[in-house]
Amino acid sequence: MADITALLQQWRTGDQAAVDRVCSELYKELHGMAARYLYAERGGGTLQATALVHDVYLRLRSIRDIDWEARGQFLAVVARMMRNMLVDAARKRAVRERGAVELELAAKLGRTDDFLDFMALDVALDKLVTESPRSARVVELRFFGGLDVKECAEIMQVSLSTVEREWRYGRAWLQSAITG
Amino acid sequence: MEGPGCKVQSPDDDSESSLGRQHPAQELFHRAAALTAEQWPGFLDRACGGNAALRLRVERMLAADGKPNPDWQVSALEAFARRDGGEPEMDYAVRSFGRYRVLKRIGSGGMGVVYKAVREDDQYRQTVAIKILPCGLDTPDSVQRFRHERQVLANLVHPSIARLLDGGATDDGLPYLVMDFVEGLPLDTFVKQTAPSMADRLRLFQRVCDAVQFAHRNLVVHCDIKPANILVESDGTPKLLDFGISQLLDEGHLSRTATAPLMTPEYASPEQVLGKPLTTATDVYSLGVLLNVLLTARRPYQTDGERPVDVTRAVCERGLDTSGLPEDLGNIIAMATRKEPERRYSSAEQLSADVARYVAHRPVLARRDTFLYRARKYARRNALALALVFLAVTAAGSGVTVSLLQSRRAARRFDEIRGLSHYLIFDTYDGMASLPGSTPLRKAVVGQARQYLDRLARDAGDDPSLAADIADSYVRLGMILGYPYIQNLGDTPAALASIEKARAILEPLARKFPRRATIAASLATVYRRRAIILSREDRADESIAAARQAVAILERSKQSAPIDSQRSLELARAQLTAGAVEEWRATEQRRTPGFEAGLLWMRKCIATLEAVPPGAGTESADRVTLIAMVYQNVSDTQRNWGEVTGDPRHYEAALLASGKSLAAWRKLPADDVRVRRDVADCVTSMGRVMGLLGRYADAEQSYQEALPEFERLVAADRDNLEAKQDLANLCNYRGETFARAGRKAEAAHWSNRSIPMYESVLQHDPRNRESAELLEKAKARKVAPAQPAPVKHSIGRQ
Repeated sequence: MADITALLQQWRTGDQAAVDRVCSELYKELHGMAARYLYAERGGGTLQATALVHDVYLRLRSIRDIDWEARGQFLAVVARMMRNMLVDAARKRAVRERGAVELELAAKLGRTDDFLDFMALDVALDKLVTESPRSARVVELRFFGGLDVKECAEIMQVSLSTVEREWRYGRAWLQSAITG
Repeated sequence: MEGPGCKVQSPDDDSESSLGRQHPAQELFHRAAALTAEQWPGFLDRACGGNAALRLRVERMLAADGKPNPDWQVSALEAFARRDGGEPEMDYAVRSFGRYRVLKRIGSGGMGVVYKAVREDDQYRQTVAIKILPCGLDTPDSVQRFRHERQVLANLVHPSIARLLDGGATDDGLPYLVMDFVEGLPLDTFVKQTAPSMADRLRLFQRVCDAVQFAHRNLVVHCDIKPANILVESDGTPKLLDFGISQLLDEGHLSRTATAPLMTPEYASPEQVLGKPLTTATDVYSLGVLLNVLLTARRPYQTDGERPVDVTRAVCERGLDTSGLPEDLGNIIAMATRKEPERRYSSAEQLSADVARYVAHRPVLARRDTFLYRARKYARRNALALALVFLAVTAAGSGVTVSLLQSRRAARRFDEIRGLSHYLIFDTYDGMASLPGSTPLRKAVVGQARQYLDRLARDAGDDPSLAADIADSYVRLGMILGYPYIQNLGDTPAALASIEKARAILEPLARKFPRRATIAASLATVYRRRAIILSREDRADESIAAARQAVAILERSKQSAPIDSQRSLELARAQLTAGAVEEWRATEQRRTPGFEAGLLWMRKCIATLEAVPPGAGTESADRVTLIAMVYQNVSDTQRNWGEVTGDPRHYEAALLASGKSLAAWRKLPADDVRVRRDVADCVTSMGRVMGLLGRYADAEQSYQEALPEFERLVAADRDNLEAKQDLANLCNYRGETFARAGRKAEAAHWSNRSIPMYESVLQHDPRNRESAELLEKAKARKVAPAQPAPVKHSIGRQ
């Protein structure tokens, strides 16, 4: 992570190679953190989930010496990576489960909808972006990027109430698209 | 988009919008959301007009808005983790499993979380234990294991085995088992708390033996016998729990090797730790450890750390500390926990019977004898495996100490790596070839393995089977280092040195035990390997001598013991090698008698092969491979003979033999990398002969067929010298054929292409004389690269 700051400075100057390097570094870092987080969680979790997620993002966001535009770009990239990563993981898990289901899991009692279906969410989010791009962006930054309303507002250069509105709409839109 | 008639107010009171017009649905949503639910129908009637689709969408969004999924409260990562089975007790404590209602979580062990639950019917109330697989471990492997447990347990009804009552799947699709709820204390806790007398402890132990024996009779090995898996009820009845990793024995009372046993290392047997086949003797071992714990209340092995390798070492190298126990009991424990499965009690029943003898003051069968000595020897014999485990774990941990006991994931990783190490060194060479891209890894592993083997050999003593094992390992190591016909590391001198070490070990053994056919066969193999490596060096006479030696050893052994098909095949290999080396020297010296001598050996080889019954499985594949190889050698001999004499009848004979060879190759599985390489090699060689016969179109077709295969192999592993040489040869032969056809530009192009590849091969393997010679020929055809290569043009059109 140490040299990501330096790379980000180059990023601002429009160095494409730097952008590629940042992204690949970042993805590795992110992937590792997410994996460690999920593993700790699975192990029966002595760690507080929220604290850990916070930690993940704190580390990524602790880059203070770059201007807002670059930081916004950067966090947007993080959010997108997070989305890709989780959707990918969900897809793998689904394949696995389908395999497991075939293993004579007869007494299936009908699935509850306690959880968001990440794959369906991914597809829906792609649709939302064509219809209400700003709303889709808020969802990506908030839900996948883990940013709060204030940060979203700063990055998107809109008011707090706009972020709230877009968030509420995006959430409702996506949820109805998934369950419908 | 929405149809006409939709009355929407002009978008956006939000001046910040830089993203253009808001979608009508969004506008309606926000406006409706500001109203109460009762006001929605009226509002939507007015706002949507006749646009039913738009209305439906907004309504559904409003409904979703009223009941947001709790996942939205957290970040995606958290939502995913919740979904992925984090905090299972919170997930399931409130749930029911079919007819069973969860009361509380009572523990998690092995690979499952266990809940106490209750069945409440109109008829009766029953307390049960439910074991569920947490989602996080939901791999096909663990699911399979879980299912297995269910089947196994259903068949086991015994007073000292916790019974399976039911099974099913949660609404998330996770399998669970419903078992007897056993109210009791883990065996070690029970002993600590109640301090039973020695006699009571032994009786308790015998009851555990009974349960294990019962399971064995039902072809079930437990594989994880330890205090935590044995609960003692208040009336003193022990109950065995957790058949999670038990394995059904197959008909032969020998299960397949556990690929990733999730055992508790301290109680695991050496064969378990080393990933060898598990039998009932594995449980006998664990019972021995258990008896020691029961009687001494000491942990089985006091290790410095809890690194997997420490425990593994301890299990394989050390004996249990039975100090303070009566000698007979110490001997019983020692006998149960012998490192070699075959030297333990043959059953739990026998172990129990010996305990009974002790209790009855009769002499026990167990003797201390050479236990510690043998234990060290066992460790030595398996030291290579241990060394590799150590290496793998150290490399994987990269400075981080992983605790096997605490981390199941580490255990699994550890097993995977151990499997890989075994695969690299101990499995067949065909197996090695199918691991493209693995050369750097093998280089590292092999370097360490070599040092370890040297240490082993130094203190091997005079145990013939251990010595033979070490010799065998040296040969394999030598092959990995630089044996021409497998993927190798290109280090010929090191390869020869390693094989020489094997010879130095085996030769005195063969003299000492002249009637042992296996030693003779091993020694013959050593000579043959040496001959082959030397044949690729500039050492024809030594190579021929070695090959003849191999044949002679086997012919001699044939007289002292009847020859089996395995040794027949080895004899055929030796004969083939002798023939091939004769042929090579004849080519080298351009002397026709050498070709005749070579062909004579090959005919002997064919006769040997024809005398071997076709057989089944690997043996048959080996035979077919040899047939393919010998005909390929006949073809090479005829071709080279033809080149010396200029008589085209030799080329015709060569082509005929190649055809037989190709037919044999094609009988072997085409998905094997090795076989594909050999087919391509054979096709290349046919192309070359066709070129010599002036059949340029056919030749070109052959080259084109073989080229992609070699290119794939080179691309898969850039360090694979053999593949590089194969590809260089093909290009070079193609150049040769073009040159014969009088097409100088193409000849130069293909010859040029081969040059850097030969140079690269020779850089890593400077003694590779075949490459050196062919490089010279290619260079002779090389012309200035001014002319661009006419790749599209084919001589086939001539």
